[in-house]
Amino acid sequence: MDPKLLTGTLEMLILDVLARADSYGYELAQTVLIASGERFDLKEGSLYPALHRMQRRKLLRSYWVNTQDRRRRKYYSLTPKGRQVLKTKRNEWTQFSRGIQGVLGQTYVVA
Amino acid sequence: MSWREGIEAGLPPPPLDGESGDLRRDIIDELADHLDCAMQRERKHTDDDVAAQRAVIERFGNPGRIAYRLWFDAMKETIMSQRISLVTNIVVAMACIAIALVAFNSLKQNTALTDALLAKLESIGAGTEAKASAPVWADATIPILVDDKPAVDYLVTLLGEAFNPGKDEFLRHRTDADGRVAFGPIRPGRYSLRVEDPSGLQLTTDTILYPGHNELDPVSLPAPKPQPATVSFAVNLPEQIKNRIAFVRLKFAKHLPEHGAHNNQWHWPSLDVLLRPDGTVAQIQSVPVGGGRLPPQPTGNEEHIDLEALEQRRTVELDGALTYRLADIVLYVPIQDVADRFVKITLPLVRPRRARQFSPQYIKPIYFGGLPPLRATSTKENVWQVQIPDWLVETVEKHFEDSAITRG
Repeated sequence: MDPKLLTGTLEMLILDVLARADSYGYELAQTVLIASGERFDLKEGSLYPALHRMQRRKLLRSYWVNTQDRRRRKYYSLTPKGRQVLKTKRNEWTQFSRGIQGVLGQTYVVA
Repeated sequence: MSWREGIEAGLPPPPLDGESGDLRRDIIDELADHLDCAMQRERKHTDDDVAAQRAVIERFGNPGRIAYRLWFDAMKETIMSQRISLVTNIVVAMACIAIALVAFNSLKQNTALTDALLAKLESIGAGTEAKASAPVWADATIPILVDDKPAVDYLVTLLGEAFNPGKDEFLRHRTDADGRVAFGPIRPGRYSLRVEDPSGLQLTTDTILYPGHNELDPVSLPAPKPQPATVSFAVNLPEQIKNRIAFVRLKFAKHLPEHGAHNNQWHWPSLDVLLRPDGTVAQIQSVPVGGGRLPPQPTGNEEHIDLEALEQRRTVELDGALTYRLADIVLYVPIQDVADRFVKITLPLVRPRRARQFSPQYIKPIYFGGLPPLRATSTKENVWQVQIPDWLVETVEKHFEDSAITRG
């Protein structure tokens, strides 16, 4: 799948995943990959900068959890501001996808 | 398998100012956790750790680069603010350096200008000091003319601050054969010039001497025209004191000027005549204007008279062109057993209405009041009556009474 189609949707996907449950980077990428039927493979080079940027914009907050194998794992969760932004982006995406679907679903008669 | 070294290699070595102490650790821990998770997933597909690691890296990319990007994003504001601050500091420093250079150059120019001004002022000051220390003198050559002819052997006195400021001095020279007198070097300024002819007549005028040589206009005087007249004296003393008086001295005040040209006027000497009660002249003296050339007059109530030096003359020769004002009469009373000492009784007849004032610039005229002036003419015999005014007779009697009481 052309990665350019994901442009502008990365933050929305992250917000949507985190709206369901707190998660960390690897899990979040795997969730998107699985949920998208392995169509959206988020590259780490884009994922982590996006996570950190959204945290600085107060859309996400983070906390550390020690794993069983003594690793520190960073979890992200949604802030109220993040939820509000997710709501807005969902509406926009719905409008956008309906528009796209509406156009793609028509039968054109070429005279 | 540890990913930390690879991640840490991508971070800049020294922590920057303003960097959180946990930033690097958080980045490393987060990316290392991700890589460990990815490694565990790959191990599910292969037992070869090397192959699994290679697959993780191929999918993840360069962990150091990602770590650096995260670090840079976190530090971007701080770095930018530091860079802005650094640039600002550099600009300010350069501006300060530029200002300092401009100020230094300005100071250098000002210093050079000040040095030049000081040098100029010093040279001016040295010149002024040299001028100030150099004496400024005046000298003058003054021609004296009497009736438009050179006044030869006239005594000329210059009165004023000849050498010292604020201190009256006089210089006295005689005119030469050309009637010229030279003064100098002396201080410039205003002077009184007194000219005295060989007979003692005096004239005073003012003059100003400027620095340098002063070739003054001639002082032109009219010639005094004496009119010789013979004068005899008749002494009329009151009877009650007549026999007790040995001598009578008549002191004539300075004569009012009779001749003059412009503001220059001659002054005649005073006259001092010592008479016997019979009217014969025992002594006659001229007192010049300003006095001081005759022996000092005795003071006090007693006076010594050199009897052997006295004359015995019936008449004296005076200038009939003048008027004579009798100022004082002095009566001399013999002291018992002492031949040449006498008690003086001074009877002032005239008093100056205004005190005689002298200044280097001029001599003010003196006015007298009292008895009417005496005159002598050359056309007839002149007898001047010497009589004590009634208003002074009582003074004389009272003196005798006091003297008697004292001696008694």
